[in-house]
Amino acid sequence: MKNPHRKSAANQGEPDLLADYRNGDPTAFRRLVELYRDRMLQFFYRLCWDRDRAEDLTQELFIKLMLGSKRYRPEGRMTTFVYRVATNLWIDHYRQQRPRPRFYSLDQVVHPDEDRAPRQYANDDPSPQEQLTEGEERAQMRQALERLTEPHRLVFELAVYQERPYAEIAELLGIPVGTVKSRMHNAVAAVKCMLAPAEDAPVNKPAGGAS
Amino acid sequence: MDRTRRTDAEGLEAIDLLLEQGSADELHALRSAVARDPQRALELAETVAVVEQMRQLRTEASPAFAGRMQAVLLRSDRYQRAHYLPRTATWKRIATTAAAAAVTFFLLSWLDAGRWFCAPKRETAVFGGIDVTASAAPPAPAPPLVTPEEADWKQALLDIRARLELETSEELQAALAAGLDQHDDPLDRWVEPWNSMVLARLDHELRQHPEVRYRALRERGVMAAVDARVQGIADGIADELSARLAENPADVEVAELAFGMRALIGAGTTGRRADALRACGRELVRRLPDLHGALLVTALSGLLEEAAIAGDPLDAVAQHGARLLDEVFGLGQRTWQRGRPDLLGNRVAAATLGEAGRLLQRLPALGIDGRRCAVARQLLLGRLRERRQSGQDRPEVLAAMLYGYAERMPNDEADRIAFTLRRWKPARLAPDYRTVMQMAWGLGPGSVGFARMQRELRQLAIQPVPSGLVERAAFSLCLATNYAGFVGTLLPNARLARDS
Repeated sequence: MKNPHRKSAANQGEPDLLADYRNGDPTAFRRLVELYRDRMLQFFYRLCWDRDRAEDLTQELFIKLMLGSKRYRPEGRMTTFVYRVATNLWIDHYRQQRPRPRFYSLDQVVHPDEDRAPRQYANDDPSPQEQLTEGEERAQMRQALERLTEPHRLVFELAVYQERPYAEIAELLGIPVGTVKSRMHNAVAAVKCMLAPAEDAPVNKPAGGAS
Repeated sequence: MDRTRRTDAEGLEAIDLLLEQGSADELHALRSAVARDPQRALELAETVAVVEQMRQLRTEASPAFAGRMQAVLLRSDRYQRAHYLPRTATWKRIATTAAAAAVTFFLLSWLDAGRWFCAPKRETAVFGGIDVTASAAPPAPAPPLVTPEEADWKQALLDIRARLELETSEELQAALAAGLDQHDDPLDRWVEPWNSMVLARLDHELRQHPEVRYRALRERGVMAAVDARVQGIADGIADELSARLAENPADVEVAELAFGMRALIGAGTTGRRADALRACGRELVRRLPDLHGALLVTALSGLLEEAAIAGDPLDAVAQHGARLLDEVFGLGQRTWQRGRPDLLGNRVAAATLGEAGRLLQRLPALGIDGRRCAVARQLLLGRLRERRQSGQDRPEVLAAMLYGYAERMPNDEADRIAFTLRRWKPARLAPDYRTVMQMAWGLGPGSVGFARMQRELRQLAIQPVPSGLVERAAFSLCLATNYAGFVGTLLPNARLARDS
C-alpha cells in the first residue's frame, strides 16, 4: 500500500540534488531525473490522460528545473520545489489548453456538464483495439477521475498518488490546509460514489453535498 | 446519514488514516474509533479498496522518452558548464596549451622519439654467402582495405545501434539484428525483384485485352461490369491530369501524380492514357531531387511501376532509390546521431511505410544493394510493429504490414494479422481507399482470408466514386484488384490475349 518513495521523499535529510547541481556535481541532475522521471510522467498522465503530452510536460519540467536552479533556495525542501514547479506547469498548461471558460464553484466536485455527452478530443480517442482491451473497470476509474473538477483532481493526485502531506499541498497550491482537506474528502466521496454500483449510488449525485 | 461522509471529532476521515495525514494522536484516536465501530471499519476497507484500485491507473513511457530524457541531461551538462563551473580565462587556456605543446616538442626532440616508431633493423646473418634472414620473417599482412562507402556503412550501423539502445526500442533492435542476420544468396536478391518487374510488365501487356480482364473478374466472382467503371475512372484521371499539367504543373501534388500513374497502369495504358502517364512521369522525375522521406517514397512507387512496364525512367528511379536508402541509414548525414530519420518517425502514414516496403522489395532489380534494402525493410517493418505495440493496432497499420512485408514476416504473424483485419470491412473503411487497396493487394491468392476478402470487396462495386484524385485512383485500384493486384496471376490467360 505504501509508496516506497514516500519515506525518502518525506525525509528532511534527503539529498539536495538541485543545490548539488548548482555546486558543480556532474551527476546531480542525472540522479534528479532518475528519481522523479517516472513519478512526474504518471503525475502528468493522470492529469491529462495523454501519454505524449505527459512526456512533453515531463521534459519541460526538467528543463524548467534546470533553468530554475539559479533561483532555488537550498533552505527550502527540494521535493516541494519540484512539485511546485510541476503543479504550476500543469496549471499553466491547463489554462492554455482549456477549450472554453468553465465557471464552477471550488466546492463542486464533478464537472457541471456531466449530463451531456462526454467531451472528446481527436488525440484522446482510444483506438478500437484500446477500446476492446481496456478493461471496463479501468475505464470507469479513469472516467471517475476525469469527472472531478480540476482543483479536486490536483489535490487527489498529489495526496493519493504522490503521497504529499496536506500541509505541503496547501503550500504548493497556496490554499489553507482546511481547504485541501475538504477538497480531498469531497473528491474521495465523489470517486467512491461514481465507482459504486448503479443501484448503490446515483452517478449524477455524488455524496457529501458536492454539488 | 451517508457513511462515506462520516467524520470524527477532529475532522479526519478514513482516507486521512490511510494516507497518514494528521498528527499521531489524531490518527490513534481515529484507529481506536474504527476498531470500536464495525461501520467505520467497513468504510475504511471500502476506502482502501478504492485507493488500491485507483493506484493501478498508470502508463508506460514510450520508447522515445528515454532519448528525450537523455537530451535533457546533455543540455543540463552544457548549462552547468556554462553557468555553474568556474571558467578559466581564455588567455590562460591559450598560454597553458602553448606551454604544454612547447615542453612536449622539446622532450620529444631531445629523446629522438622518431626512432621508436621506425621498424627495428634486422640483424643480418650470412651463411654461405646467402642472407638467410631475408626470408626468415614473412612480411606482416597488410590491413584489409576499407572503402569510404564501407566505412560509412559501418559508422551508420554503429550510430543506429547506439540510438536504438538509447531509446530502448526493442522492436527496432530486433529488426536491425534480423536484417543483418539474413544470409540470402546475392543472386536471389537480384533475381526475385527482377522477375517481379518482368512479370509486372507481362501482366500489364495482358490486361490491355478486355477478355483477359473480364475473365480475371469472373473467375473470382466479380461482375465483369466493374471493369467498365475502372476504365471510366482511369479515363477521367488521365484527362484531369493532362489538363492540369498543361495548365500549371506546380498545382498537381506528388501524391496525385504518383497515384494517378498507378491507377492508369492498373487499368491499362491505352490511347490517351499513355500520353498522360508519360507526362506525369516526366513531371515526377523533374521533382525527384527536391523530394525526401515519405514524398520520395510516394513518387518512386509511381515511377517504379512506370519503369517496370515501359523500361523508363530506370536510371532516375535507381539513383533516387539509392538516395532513399541513404536517408534511412543516415549515410553521410549521421542522422541517427541526432534522432531517427523521417521515415522511421511518427509523422509518416502507415500506408507510406507499406509502399516503402514494396518499393524496397523491387529496388534491387535496378542494381541497388539488395542486402541494405533488406535491412531497411526490416527496420520499417519493425517500426510498424512498434506502432502496433504502442496501441495503434489500426487497420492501416495492419494493411501496410501485409502489403509491404508479408513475405518478411513469420507465417503465423501474417495469418494473425489477416485474421485481425477481418474486423474492418472494406466497404466500411470507405473513403480510406488507400488502406482498402493495401488490404486487398496484401492478401494474395493462397493467403489466409483471401476468399473472404474477395467476397467483401464485391461490395465496393456500388460505392460512389470519391471526389479527390488520390482517393479516386486508390478506389480504381481496389476495383481492379483481380487483374492488377497480384503479379503473375494473369499468365494462364496469356492464350486468350494471343488469340485476340
